[in-house]
Amino acid sequence: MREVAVAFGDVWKSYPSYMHVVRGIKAFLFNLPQVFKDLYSRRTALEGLSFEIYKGENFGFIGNNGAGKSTTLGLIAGVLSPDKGLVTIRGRVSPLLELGAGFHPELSGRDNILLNGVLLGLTRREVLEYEAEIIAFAGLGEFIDMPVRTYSSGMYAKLGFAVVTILKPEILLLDEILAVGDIAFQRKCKAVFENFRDNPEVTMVLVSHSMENIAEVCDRAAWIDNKQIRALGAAKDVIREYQAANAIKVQVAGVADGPPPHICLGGVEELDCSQFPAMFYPRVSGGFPDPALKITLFHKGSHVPLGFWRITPQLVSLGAKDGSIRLETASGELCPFVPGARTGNSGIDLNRPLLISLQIENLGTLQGAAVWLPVCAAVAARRKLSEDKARIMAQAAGSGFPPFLWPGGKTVRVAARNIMSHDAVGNFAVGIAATLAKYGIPARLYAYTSCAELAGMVSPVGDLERETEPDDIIFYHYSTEDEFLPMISRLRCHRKILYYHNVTPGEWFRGLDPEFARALDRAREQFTHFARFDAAAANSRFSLNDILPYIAGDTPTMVYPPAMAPEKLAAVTPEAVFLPRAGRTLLWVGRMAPHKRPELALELFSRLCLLRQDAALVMVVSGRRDLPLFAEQLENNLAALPAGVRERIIVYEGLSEAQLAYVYGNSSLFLCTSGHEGYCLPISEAMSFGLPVAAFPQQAVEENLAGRGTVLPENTEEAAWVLFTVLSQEMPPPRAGFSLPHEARAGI
Amino acid sequence: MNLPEKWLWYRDLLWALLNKELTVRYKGSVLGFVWSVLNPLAQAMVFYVVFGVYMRFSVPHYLVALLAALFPWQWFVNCVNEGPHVFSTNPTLVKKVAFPRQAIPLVMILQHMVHFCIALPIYAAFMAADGLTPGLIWIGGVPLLLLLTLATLYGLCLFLGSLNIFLKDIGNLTTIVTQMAFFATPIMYTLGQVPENYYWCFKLNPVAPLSICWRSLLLDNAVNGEFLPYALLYALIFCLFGGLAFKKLHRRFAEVM
Repeated sequence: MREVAVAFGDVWKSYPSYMHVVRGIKAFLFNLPQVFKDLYSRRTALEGLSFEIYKGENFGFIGNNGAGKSTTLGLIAGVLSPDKGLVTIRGRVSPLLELGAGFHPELSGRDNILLNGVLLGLTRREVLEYEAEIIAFAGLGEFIDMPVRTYSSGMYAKLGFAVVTILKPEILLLDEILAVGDIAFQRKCKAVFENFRDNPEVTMVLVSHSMENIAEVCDRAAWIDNKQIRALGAAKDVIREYQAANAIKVQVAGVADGPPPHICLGGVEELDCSQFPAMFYPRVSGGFPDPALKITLFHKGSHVPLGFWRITPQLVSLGAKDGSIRLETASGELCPFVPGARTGNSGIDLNRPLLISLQIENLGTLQGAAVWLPVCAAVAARRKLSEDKARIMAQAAGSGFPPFLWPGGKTVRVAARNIMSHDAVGNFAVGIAATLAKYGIPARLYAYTSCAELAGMVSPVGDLERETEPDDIIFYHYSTEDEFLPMISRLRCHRKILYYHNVTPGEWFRGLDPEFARALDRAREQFTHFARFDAAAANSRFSLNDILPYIAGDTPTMVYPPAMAPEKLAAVTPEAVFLPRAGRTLLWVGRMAPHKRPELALELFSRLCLLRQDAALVMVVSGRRDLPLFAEQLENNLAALPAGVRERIIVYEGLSEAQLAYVYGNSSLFLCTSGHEGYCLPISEAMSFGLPVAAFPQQAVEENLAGRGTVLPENTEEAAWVLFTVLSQEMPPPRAGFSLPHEARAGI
Repeated sequence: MNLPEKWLWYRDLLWALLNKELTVRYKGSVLGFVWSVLNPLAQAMVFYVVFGVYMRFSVPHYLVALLAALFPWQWFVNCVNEGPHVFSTNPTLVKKVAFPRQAIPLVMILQHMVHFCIALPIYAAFMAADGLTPGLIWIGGVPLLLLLTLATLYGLCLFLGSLNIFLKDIGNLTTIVTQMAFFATPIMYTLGQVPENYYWCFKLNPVAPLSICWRSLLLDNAVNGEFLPYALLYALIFCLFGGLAFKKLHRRFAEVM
């Protein structure tokens, strides 16, 4: 039996909603009834976490933002205490200081070592013992007696790293390993990490978004998802499971084969069995002779399956009885429920909103996209569900109104191949539906692929075929190959409106992912179906030109930007992230895809560094997992840069909206290197923050800029000069209300 | 960690934090800690001119009497006004490090106490200039009153600091109350000028007894037997309430900040 360093036993943690109280006495007095409600309403952050971390082990936590990783670290560090359950810690825990965050800018490096060391739990004498070693490791020379505010960000991080590593906490908590400093120092850090990793006395607990780091450092890992542990085990296995669940790349099916088998629900948007069992009839269209349906039950907001039923498509009723959910056939026969492996002792909470996913099963394998349907088994759950829906709709609704003529009394059916939250097309489609609903126009959403977050809002595309009436309007979004386009284009209704989001030419992906490139080519072949639409809109003039040859001559067309409220991000309360200290900070935002040309940003930046020594580049990327080959190429490009340049580049993945808002608010210039865009949303966002924009020539981007930014020459050497000139001009100060990064770090 | 080692660590922790506070506070200012003395001196001058010269208060050694109350008051009021914000201005210590958070107000008070101790010789110089001399009673009296003030302030700051995290108005309220307390306490006037049948007002005022004791000691080289018990009582009450408030609330600090 190995010695346990950290043990969680069914740990629950919630945060209070002290909003009214914290806002002051006035708000407190004027909202008394609400205040008393708030005092008891808490939002949960962790729900029944249990795990053990053994002494000497290297343990990683992965998961999306807001899943509960930071709360877990806070509990281990002892700054938070659990509501319920037991947290046991054996050993001296390092504080949760981000590297150097605990430094006081006015104190010298030497004084900061002492302060940090004592905060780590060592006595003065112990710290002084290690002092020489730390100073030697950080390699700061005589700077050690200067106030740390005079340090460069690299020196800052070096000292921070040296303190944490040399002082040897027994349990080392790390919130992201930062690759800091020059190559030589990085090598030193790596050696230290390896030393820690192999040292049986040191337990390392690491939270990271970088799967490479977790895989490299950790023996075991836990995936925290929606306040619960979704997977726990060998790091490699957990990562594989996480990546499999997060791969958003949509499988492509051949159009020639017609639409894939899909599920129809017959207009059911929600199953309410709070009083009586709810009847519904899931059907399967197309495909197999006798398909089965796997119906999986979840708590809404959790991805941990509570269990599943397997039925043949037929009329069934879902009811709540004796604290459990029962599925019965029309003849009253009970369908067997197979409970999930990790349901634990908490079981099914009928007072929470529930969720089912339906998926077609043929010969034991799941086929096609899942359909999501919310379930409420109690009145409280129903209220919660409608509140959630209202909140999402209110957030999605735009301030502007698309200037189409919407005839009254008709339902608008908004359709797309994929409607997912956190996706540009999905956001726009939901935004349109929410805006229409705000103006009292009935609107429904349809998609083949959707997600649990939008359950109850998006119906399966099969329902569109059955529900569309002659008086309806179909508002169809096109951005990717769609097996359902032929069906939709043939539907009979009052008007069919096409919105074209642009399809990236397959050429960009030919070498990296031939299958994806072929799907993109096929998407362009599908344009012939556009002739059947009554009106066409696109996100830019450039995109519209793409499809003009395919639509009938007298069809009305227009350009309408796909942002319901471009200033929305600027209204988000920003959350600080680490930014390099620099005179000018360039910001690059985009997907890791070849047509975004991130490598061009690196090349341009390294040229700029020859002209200007105080610039930094912040890259906020997404989708690194989609094209691992491309991501790897870029990593190599990054590693090949001279140390002085590499040191001043920070790459972030998976920033939250609040963090992105902070980055926008604290950068000096937005750099767009994209080689193909239908419409560049980050440019609109940057402009709403008042950031100057520099972009390489590309038609949609120039349209988007409308003369308000700098168009760079194609040649990177000339472009670097242009950029240098732009950066040499007086820059507006960061937005009011934003603290500068070094102030954010000068905590104690 | 065994017990003596833990105490050793507490001591070092206080030392390191105090050292930081003292280094940082007047960094970059030319006069440095002299400012902490100049402030009460300037105040004393104003009172001296207004009340001593223009309005002709008949108080012997009025300037020295003023200083005898103003120096301790300065320490007191600086701490109390900073008290409500003591946790919220140290988010890193509260949110990122698991360590005895009650050290944060203690360090703040100790830092102001150091300034007060530095001011004592300056006060003694003013005494000497006016023909007065510090008595032997200071040897026991000063440490006693230092401890008593420290205890009063510690309780008060724990209380205000803990509450202010949840109710932001405490900070604003405190500034008003300390201003009122300044006039309700014999500082710019002396106890001797007030008719004795109003003394009960000072006994009800939780900060007055302490101030009265300081002036008795520093000016008259005497222990004030009438007010010292009250000062002790209030110190006890503050410590009790401060400790309770902190104990009840400190687990939730990191949640709300």
